[in-house]
Amino acid sequence: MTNLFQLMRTIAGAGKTIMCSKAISHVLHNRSLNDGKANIVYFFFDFNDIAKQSVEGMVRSLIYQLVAKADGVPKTVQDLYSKHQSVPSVASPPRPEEWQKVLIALLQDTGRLFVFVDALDECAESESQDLLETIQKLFKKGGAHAKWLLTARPSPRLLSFLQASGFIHSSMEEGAINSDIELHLKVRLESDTKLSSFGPKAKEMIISSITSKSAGM
Amino acid sequence: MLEQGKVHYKKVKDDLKNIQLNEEEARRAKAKADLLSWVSQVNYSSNYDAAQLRTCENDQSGDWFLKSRNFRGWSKATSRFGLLVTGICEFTL
Repeated sequence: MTNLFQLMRTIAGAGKTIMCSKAISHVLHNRSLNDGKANIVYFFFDFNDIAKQSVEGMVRSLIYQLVAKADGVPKTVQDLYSKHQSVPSVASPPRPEEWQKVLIALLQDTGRLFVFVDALDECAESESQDLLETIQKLFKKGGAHAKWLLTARPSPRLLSFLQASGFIHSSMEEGAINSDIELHLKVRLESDTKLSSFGPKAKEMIISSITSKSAGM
Repeated sequence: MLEQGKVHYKKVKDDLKNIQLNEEEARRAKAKADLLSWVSQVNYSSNYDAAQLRTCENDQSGDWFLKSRNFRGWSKATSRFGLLVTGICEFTL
């Protein structure tokens, strides 16, 4: 039973993950967005991978990716490393706030930046509030040019929190319905004997005016 | 003869310097790798890689999103911009 439930959740999550991956790939391979200097970092929360269910795991992975791409090692990271690793016998792991501070400093120092976080709902349940607060903090403090794209299963709490933090909401439901309507219209406009006599411009207008009106239905 | 010796000596000196520089570079690369593995050992790209493999070139799922006004506005924005995309399926226990 647990396995079946897990499988269902995995299938439900796949749509978001494929979409997020497509968005990443689009930005990576689009020359006007990525001239080689843009920084593109991402983190995928994952029900099936224990290493991808914590807020600290996300923060540290984003630090890793930014440092890996930097020349040398940024001072803030070097300082944290020295502080905690210089004497291995008394080495202690940094506290979550310390990692967070370092990440904010790195985000502020990065010019063109795209951050993708997939499947917020696949973070451990016990950390879901911490996740939202952390993302809010990183988004507000980390870099005036940073662009964030998040995906999640819809939940009223998550929606209202992130919208209050300044995130614009886009629903796959609306988009998917709309693209289905568009597909249906295209088929009808080509196959219907009366409708197919319209020119391409007119057909385009019909499609765009109908799909724009049906958004949000 | 003396001139040749000087040239040779200079070459040896340059080679030595290069070796030292390379060693210094290797030492720095090793230090950075150590630091990085301390920061995170999560295989962050595995989900992305798997999704890339799963979607063949003519798979159009999700394309509506790349063409949507919200995504285009987001991708072209020059200042801070957050976009939240919510999925379709909702499961409740």
